Amino acid sequence: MARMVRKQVYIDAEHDLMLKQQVAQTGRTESQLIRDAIELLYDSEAARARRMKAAEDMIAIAESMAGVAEANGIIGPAWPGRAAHYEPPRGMPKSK
Amino acid sequence: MMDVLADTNVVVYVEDDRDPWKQRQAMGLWRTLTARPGTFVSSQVVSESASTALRLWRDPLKVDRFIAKLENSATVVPVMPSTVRLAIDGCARFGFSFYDAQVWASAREWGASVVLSEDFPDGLVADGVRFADPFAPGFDLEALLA
Repeated sequence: MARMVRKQVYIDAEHDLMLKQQVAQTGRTESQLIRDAIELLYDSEAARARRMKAAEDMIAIAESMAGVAEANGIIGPAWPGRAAHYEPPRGMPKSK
Repeated sequence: MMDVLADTNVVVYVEDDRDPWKQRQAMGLWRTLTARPGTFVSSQVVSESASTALRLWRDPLKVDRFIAKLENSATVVPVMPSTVRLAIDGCARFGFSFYDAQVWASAREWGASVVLSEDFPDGLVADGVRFADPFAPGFDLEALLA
């Protein structure tokens, strides 16, 4: 898994027609339908298990940092919205 | 299958233990989302999550490991010049701030029909992209994805 990449592929005219019919019927884009097909065929239990393991590891790291933000003297919301994240109001210290 | 883009606040609430309810919600949401294919984050979400974790934890090694796990638990879509141009269009048409518009543009460009975020009006639909607040009372992921 991980990054999305752009890929140019050649497909049969017949497959192209099938894809366009599916776009018309489902409202999904051709890219989505191709991803659906790949996932249907190849998104194995192993890939799902890898994603879920990564999620559990990510959560475990966050849990291991319990109390750290408070100990670091962080006050206020961690995510105050993008406006404040990119441009803190005047008088507010910028994050170090 | 419905593709979903998770916004930065979902990841940030996983990081931040100072609101235990939101952290539990965010962790539960992340477990559910990563159990299915079709969950995206954009490179902007990764970047904002990293900068917030650095501010909260002040531990670059832990933040690096956390972001590596984030990258492996979902599909990361890049912000490209075409995304930026779409975001500019989103600012004009929907009144989004630029960086919010870039989140919408990533979803639009990569075909995610739902953005999970508390930074947008819950239920707003912009060019086929629906925003849902996963921290709003009564939020039901199963119903949303059905």
